[in-house]
Amino acid sequence: MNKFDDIIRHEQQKTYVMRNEALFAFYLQAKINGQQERARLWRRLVMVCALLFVPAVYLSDKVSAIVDLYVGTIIRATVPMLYNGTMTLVVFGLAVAWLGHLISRR
Amino acid sequence: MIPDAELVRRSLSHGSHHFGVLIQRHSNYLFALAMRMTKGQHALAEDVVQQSFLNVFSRLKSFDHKRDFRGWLTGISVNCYRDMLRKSPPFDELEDAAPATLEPVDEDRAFVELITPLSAEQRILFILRFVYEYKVEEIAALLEIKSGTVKSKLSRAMSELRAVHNDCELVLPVIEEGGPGASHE
Repeated sequence: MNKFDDIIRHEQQKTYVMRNEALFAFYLQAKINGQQERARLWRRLVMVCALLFVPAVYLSDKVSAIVDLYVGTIIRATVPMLYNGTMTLVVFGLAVAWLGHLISRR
Repeated sequence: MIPDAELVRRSLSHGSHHFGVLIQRHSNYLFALAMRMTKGQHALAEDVVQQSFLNVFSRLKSFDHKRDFRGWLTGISVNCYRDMLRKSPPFDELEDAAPATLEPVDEDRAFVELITPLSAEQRILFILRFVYEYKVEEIAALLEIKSGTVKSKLSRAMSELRAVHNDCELVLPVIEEGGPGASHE
């Protein structure tokens, strides 16, 4: 048997040992469980989106009414405040405070 | 003992805890393969094993039950090592790194010194052919390449080894079709 065969035979018989096989297997199993759970969550998300599709289509048809109902209410409540100056004062005050902050940092 | 194919089926239908048995069954084999491919870099070998098992799990549905699970695992592990080399360039191992074996250091280094002149690709083929005694056709099937390519790469690898180790008493084999029976442990 020549030296090459000796080296190969020796390598075939060699035993490799992990530093912490049990911990390695545990960690790997946890990662796989996580991967499986993530896949399951994605599947559920897709399912929920599919289920919500019909009501979403229905609502999108009525979007202008909904916008008018909610956003319109906010605008109608805010505009009188702007008119009587309360909101303008708040915005102006914030702007001055911000400028003061910038200047004080120099 | 439950066959590998049955464990694969159970992992798919009953949950990943059945895959744990496959990990326990094949982790030593895969770690030894990774240690040989990485020339004894322990941390890198562990990364290869871990990533290989993760890849195997994510591709479990595509496993052909007629195939040998260990062979399929070997192919995925080799591809995984190639990907890791592609993503991050290899770094030299420390000279005084503690070997992960139960055997004397001098004899341990002989194999690493023998395969050091080879490129990663040649090293993989050399290990599969001579250490694991896979036939050329089997390697070609595992790595999904042509057997002619395997043969030519192996032949080139042997020429390089002959050129480097010409002063030693090494008698390197000539690559021929087929070879000894596969005892893959």
